[in-house]
Amino acid sequence: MSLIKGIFGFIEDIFKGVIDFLVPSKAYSWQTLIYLSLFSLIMSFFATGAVKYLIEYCGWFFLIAGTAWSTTDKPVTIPGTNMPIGALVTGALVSLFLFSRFINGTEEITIKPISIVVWPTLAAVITAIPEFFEGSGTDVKRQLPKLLIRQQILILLAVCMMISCWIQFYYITESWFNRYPTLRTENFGASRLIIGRRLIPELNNEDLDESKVNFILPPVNGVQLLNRLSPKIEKQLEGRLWGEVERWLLDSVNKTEPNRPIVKLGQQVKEEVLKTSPAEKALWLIEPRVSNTKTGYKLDLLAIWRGPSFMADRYYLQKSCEITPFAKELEDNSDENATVNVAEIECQRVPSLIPKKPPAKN
Amino acid sequence: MLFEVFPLGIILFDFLFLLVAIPIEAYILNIRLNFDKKSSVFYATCVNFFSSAIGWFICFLLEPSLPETWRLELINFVFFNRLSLSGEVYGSIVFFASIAFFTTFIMKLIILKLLIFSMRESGPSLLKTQPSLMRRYSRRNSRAKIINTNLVLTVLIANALSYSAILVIILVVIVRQF
Repeated sequence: MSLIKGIFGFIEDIFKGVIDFLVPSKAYSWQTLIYLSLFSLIMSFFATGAVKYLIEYCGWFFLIAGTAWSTTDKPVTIPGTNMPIGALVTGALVSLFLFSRFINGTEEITIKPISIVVWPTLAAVITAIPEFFEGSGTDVKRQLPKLLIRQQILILLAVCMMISCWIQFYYITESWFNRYPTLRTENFGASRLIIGRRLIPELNNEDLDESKVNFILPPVNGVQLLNRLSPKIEKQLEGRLWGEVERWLLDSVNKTEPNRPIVKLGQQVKEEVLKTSPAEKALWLIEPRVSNTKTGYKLDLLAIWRGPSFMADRYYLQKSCEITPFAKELEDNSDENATVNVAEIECQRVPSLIPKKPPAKN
Repeated sequence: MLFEVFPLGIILFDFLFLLVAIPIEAYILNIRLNFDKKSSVFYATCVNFFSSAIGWFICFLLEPSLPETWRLELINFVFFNRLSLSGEVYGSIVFFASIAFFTTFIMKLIILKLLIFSMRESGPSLLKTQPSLMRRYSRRNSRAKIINTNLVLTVLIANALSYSAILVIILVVIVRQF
């Protein structure tokens, strides 16, 4: 019996505590503001147009005010500083509202980088504000805080501004990745100024010295460039007369020729693949290398990365194609043995990555 | 993944530079301007943190309009600790370092003046000068001028010393790298 009583008593105590927490003892308290904010947010759900925004913004205001109030009663500061944790919470709400909701103006709240960047500074400002006012509740007077407190506020503000700057710098590096997506595939294990991945390379590198390869995945844009380029070349050469094909290959590697076919195709492919990252257009170089084999020609398509890279010599991607002549019977000829040489082309499926300087032009 | 990369090294180096600069500048403020130790540390801390933050802010404003090659050079340095060895790059580094020196000098001076202004004991009543006491006013004015030149010189010396210390650190880091 007493056990049940004890359990019930325990539950009752918890319940009492929760109720005391949830139900304010007087109307003029922070709980009221939180409830008002909840009420406004729910009401704004049903409203439309400008009224919806008005009610929602009121809700935000109540929420911020309520949070600020609830945390100023007994401030718990971050160890070693004079910044209350409550100011951090309030600052987070304010910057979320200001930069992700109010200025952005869209329906759903997505946390914008600027909200996070401004947050520490805003929290410092919020910490400082109460120091400039005297008294509490309804009777408020402006005052200049004491010398020591002024010093504390200024140092806090300065440090928080630096933290904001550092966060912003993180976002700058992030923007570099968006600008040059190929950088994402690098290994940052050896960098001293950056912490990043130290991952094991995983790519098509049968004929390569494995220790030299520092990629975790093939540079996506470069692989795409070559994978789009080779079918176009296959389409142009397949089944054409051998003489024409030889001419075409010669033109492709001829520097004085004004419209080299492969360079032209390369430009097309670049436009297609690098649509979303136009900054990389100048950094990828598409070049052909042609060499003789016993049976025909070997065409190496190179995509050379000229941007920043972990590898001192930079690197390039290569896709090799074998072009061989093939005797085809003429259809519209009465002579059965009359044949003509046409080209047959076969390319590697997956480009390989070579962490060296590209071979000399021919 | 939350962070693809995080520029922790840059942040730690920045913090290290601040930690080196603050005591040096505090010492200079202490011996040259006769601030007591505590307030000179306060002034040095605030001046350095604020000017550093403003400097970062200026960099953030400039970054979007950087020429492509410079940005690539910057990425190469930040991500791969490498600078291309062309003379042009070194020339511009020296050029921008000297610009940074003078900009921070001016910023530190302005910030220090603002701080001294904001740390005065009582309200703005002290600042009001009585127009009837013209002679006294002028004498005070010349004294203020002397203090002012002293302040400028002190900030210049402090800035030069802290920059030299930071330069020494950078050189040590570079030498250790090879």
